[in-house]
Amino acid sequence: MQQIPMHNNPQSDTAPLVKIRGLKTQFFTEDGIVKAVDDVDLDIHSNRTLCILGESGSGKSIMARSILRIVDNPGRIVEGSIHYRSADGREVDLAKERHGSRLLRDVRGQDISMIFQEPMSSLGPITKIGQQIVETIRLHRNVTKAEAKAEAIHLLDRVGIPRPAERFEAYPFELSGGMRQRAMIAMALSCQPRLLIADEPTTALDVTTQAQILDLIAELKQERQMGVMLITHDMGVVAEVAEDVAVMYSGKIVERGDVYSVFENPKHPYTKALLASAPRLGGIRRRRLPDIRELLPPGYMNNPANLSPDARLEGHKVAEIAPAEPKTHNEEDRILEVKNLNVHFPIGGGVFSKSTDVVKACDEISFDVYRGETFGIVGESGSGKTSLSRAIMRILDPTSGEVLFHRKAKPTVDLTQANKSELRDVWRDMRMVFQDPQSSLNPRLRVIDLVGQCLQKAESLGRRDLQARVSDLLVQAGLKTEFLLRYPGAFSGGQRQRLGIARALATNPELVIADEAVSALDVSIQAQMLNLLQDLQDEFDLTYLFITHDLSVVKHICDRVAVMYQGKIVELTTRDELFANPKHPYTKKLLAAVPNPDPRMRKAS
Amino acid sequence: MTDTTQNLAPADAPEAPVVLGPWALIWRKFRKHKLAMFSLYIVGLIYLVAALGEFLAVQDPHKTSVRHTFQPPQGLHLFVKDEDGSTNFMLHAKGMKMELNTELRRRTFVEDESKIIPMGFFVKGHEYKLLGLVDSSTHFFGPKNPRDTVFIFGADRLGRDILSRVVVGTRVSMSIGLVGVAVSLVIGVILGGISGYYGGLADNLIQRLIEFIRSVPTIPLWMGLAAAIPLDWPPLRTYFVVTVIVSMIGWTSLAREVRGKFLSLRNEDFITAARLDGLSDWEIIMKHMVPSFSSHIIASLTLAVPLMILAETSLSFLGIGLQPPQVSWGTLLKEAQNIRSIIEAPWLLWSPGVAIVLAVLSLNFLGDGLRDAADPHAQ
Amino acid sequence: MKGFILRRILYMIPTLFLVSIVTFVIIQLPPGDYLDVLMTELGEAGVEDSSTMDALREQYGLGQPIYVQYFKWMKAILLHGDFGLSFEKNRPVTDLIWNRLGWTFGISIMTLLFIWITALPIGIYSAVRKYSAGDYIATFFGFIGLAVPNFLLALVMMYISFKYFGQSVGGLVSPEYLDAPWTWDKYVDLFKHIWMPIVVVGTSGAAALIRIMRANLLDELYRPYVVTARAKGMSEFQLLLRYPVRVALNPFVSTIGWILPTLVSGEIIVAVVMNLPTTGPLLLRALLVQDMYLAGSLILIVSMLTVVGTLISDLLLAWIDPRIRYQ
Repeated sequence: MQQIPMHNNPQSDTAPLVKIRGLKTQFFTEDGIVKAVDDVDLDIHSNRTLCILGESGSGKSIMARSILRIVDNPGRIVEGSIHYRSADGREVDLAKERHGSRLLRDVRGQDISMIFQEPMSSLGPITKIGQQIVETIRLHRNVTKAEAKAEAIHLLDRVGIPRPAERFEAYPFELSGGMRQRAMIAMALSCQPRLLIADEPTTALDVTTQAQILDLIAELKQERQMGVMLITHDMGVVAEVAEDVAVMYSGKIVERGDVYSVFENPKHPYTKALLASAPRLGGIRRRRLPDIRELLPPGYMNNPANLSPDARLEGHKVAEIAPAEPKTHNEEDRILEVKNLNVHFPIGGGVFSKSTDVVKACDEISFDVYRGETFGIVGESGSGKTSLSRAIMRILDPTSGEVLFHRKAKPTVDLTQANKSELRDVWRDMRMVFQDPQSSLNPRLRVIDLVGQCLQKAESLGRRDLQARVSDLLVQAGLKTEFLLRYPGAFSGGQRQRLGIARALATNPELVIADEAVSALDVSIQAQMLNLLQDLQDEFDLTYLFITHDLSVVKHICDRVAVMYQGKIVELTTRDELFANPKHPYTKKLLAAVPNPDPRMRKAS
Repeated sequence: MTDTTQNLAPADAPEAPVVLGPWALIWRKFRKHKLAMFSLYIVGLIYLVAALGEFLAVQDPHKTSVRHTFQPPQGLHLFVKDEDGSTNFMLHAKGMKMELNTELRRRTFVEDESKIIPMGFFVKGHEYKLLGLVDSSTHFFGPKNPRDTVFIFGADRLGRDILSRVVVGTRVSMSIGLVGVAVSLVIGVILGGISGYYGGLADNLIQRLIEFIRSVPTIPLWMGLAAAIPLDWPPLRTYFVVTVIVSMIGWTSLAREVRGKFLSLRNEDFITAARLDGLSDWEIIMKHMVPSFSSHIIASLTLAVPLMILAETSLSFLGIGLQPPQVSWGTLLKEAQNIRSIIEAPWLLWSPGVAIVLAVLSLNFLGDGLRDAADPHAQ
Repeated sequence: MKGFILRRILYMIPTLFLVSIVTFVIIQLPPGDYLDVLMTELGEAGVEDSSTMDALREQYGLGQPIYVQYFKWMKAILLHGDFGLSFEKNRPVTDLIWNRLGWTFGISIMTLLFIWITALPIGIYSAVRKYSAGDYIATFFGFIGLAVPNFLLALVMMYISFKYFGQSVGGLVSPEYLDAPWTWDKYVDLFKHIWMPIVVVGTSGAAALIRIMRANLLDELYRPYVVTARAKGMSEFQLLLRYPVRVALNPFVSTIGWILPTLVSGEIIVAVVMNLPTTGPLLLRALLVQDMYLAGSLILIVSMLTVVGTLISDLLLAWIDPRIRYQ
């Protein structure tokens, strides 16, 4: 409605849309003050995409919220200014505005709008999608309900939601994740904002959906000449869409510049370490993943005060990381044979009607796993990969099929036919590492009982023996023996996953199934975990069945890969073959969607 | 948004110094809750009163006396004036004289300045069994001369001491809460557990039953059941039947809670992990599930006790629960059932009323504090 | 939605059946039956009228197997609306109860409205201004409201209004209007009386609902969708009412399901204290003299109406919350 011809305005290149100076946002908690944003200077320009890159806890999200003044209590802006230049050229300092002032409310949604990570929880749960958009339009523009509705349907259409008039009446829970995020974007764009702030807009989405959403944002930015500020932890996303980059660490901006200079010529050691540890699909495959914490000087990560731009990166550690030599496996020595496995779930049906329809979570799945290899199963959410892993373990009962488990010293078992006591025996040799270490460790048990529970069950050890065995396991998993009597609540995410790994290894298993075992972790911790898993594989001659949605993890750790799509395996091949020469269209699409942490390799858009 | 809270702490912080177990954490959180801590002391005190009962009673709660019918409360005084005019410290009460007001044609009581009743601690009085075991006639507080009568909170229709009756009634009223909760706990945990762990038809039936009990107004039901208790039953049997009636609804909310916990825990990863560790169903329930919700159950139980107390009180008040000579707060309030007796002797209402409100209030605060402390998500 | 309504109504049938059985068991519980009592009384009076006795015996199936008695009782109710005879008053139960039932449910529904009108704004205020003086006051009164049994509250209020305001207490109208026709003055007088039972019965419910509303709303106030609404530029008041309050309202509405039974219960006991012309005193009297058909019918009808009320509240909830509808 108020399209501003930016390109005609010579000022637009020099005068930023938003100018942040000395911004400090702090949280006044019971345990003291947390400096979430600590003295940040930043310029945001029209018609440019600025990416804020940082790990979780870096303060990037709080910084973005400070601009719109929507930081939750007990957070407050204590210092600094946020100058916003409005369409008529006037400047206002948003940081000085009173909470909920008319001016702030006018800026929000109309001049600057925002989209969030979780579209499900960010949309009102029991208000129709269309109603939420209409409401935004009518808040800022003087139009009738019918006009607003027509506009909303038009917007839904524009963001690529099929049958927009129908979806206007839908509730958020009736849409898929990608569709919800599109609706969220439609709402954010409804008043033609001059700046769009996107806070991790694709983190909760599948990689193919992520690519679509990123494309959409780029397209809309072009079309509307608006500024975009995109907050992410994913270097691939940054390389894909950014024009300018600011790297945040511990509340401060440690590096800023245009995307090429930051990626190709990083100045700050943190940026360098971050780039070195970024998982990438291209290039050589290294035996070990570089780990930020190993790359940076000792004590660097835990003490932000040490963060001087002059610190030198421990370069030799990168050099030490040698390329991996290809592994070979005896194809006759199979450890697991899955034959025509089906897992069907009934859908619909109620008290009075028997349901007739089924969802085929696993549809005639067959594959073999060779002893000593790492077999990957990759797929997006809803592909059936988790049902598959649970059916193999017999945590859930498959509808039909065979799962043959060949062990070294014991007879072969078909898990689908095994009875309870056979299963308990099998579960000693086939263990599982869970996705979320937080929920898989009972917060009310001590480490010794958590890790040792299965040992206790299998061998009924005395307390002293148990303590010795669990101590050994902890050391193997890179933990200290003092942790024996602690509760899981006292550990960080990475440490908890190490506990999960120690627990899985307790009974000397032959096969370990890892279900998204590293997905819930930060990239840097993910690298540590993958390195640990590989070390343990070498040491104990383990076979891994690795289930993941993340192709960079597959690239790094797997020897052979099965790609799952809609309950079926669509492609099964070696890793190198998969990345070099994908056959199935879905595999191609999947590979193409993964953003590459290199701005020069950007897909045209 | 989910991200912002995590953002406050570095993602991979060095291990926290916390080595406290879950129960220690709950206790630490609970202790911060001042009101709940205070209520804990009050509840402890009330149960102490319930246990000691007769020892704390100033007078025999069952002794009637026509001369003291509806005698108003007597104040306690600290100083007496001697004949020579000097003031001496002596804890005492003033005697009361009954006068017949011919104009109003009713009896009134006036303080008798000349009669001084010395009061003291650990005095001799009526015989009783301490804790039901030890014969004793020592009382914590009372008139030094056992033949004196003092009505600190006034007397009732039959001239019995209200204070002593409230003190002795504490036992019945408070224990009905505990026994009722114990009954609810057993029924609730078993049915809720079956419902939540096995699901299916059993779950459906139990849920319908709970829905039924909850959708029916309780008082008429209770009244119907309680009215069926024959009046000539011994007090103890009546007591237990009333307790069972009262706990008939208590278990439903507990069963729902247990079921909900079982349902949500059943799908937790740590339960699956325990299964994979080779634990049997029973071991999983006892080692993993029950400890996970026992703190919630304790909080819910604490909140259920006052409901039972109120229920007993209501029934006894209506005259269809406990029957005199059983002394409970409810039967005491029955004396104050009509407006005329309240206007004539408001202390009939105040004393047991305050006792009930105090007990229920402190149990509610205690339960609330426990619930907050047990909730891992609460700040 | 149609399927949902149908399902709920079908679920109600076993509940109603159970109610009738339980009621019947209650009727049967006291040892002996009313006719025994009557017989002895008549015998003492020297009257021998066995033909009347036999007729009564036949009518109620007394002495026959218990399921036959139940069947006869239900048949009379379902086919003829005949709830039997009040032995004490020697009149059909139906003559005695409808007027009183009307008052019971009238007062209960008015109490429900009272609870809503007070609990909703106070609960919202308490949540939004958490830990403010107002919140503490509301919380304090909330706890008191829960701790005071309503018959005690009734007694206290009657005492206060008599002692300090000299108002006549008890009943729904002043004695002079008791048999008077319904005039404007009588309505005014009714409202002077009826507020007291409403407040008394409603206090604990209102206290509970304030706490529920506060907790629900506190759960919702810090959700991401509230941040979204704020980022859209809505004013705090607007967004509060449109989003978190709307979401928090659903569990609030579902509380009608359990609050209606407690209101009816509360009304019955308060009516005894305040001597209101509702079911309470009639039921108590019937139970005490073992006039079991009267008592049983009252329990049956009160329970059934409550179950229906709960059903209506469930349907209302499904109507305002799409998520329940689609289950």
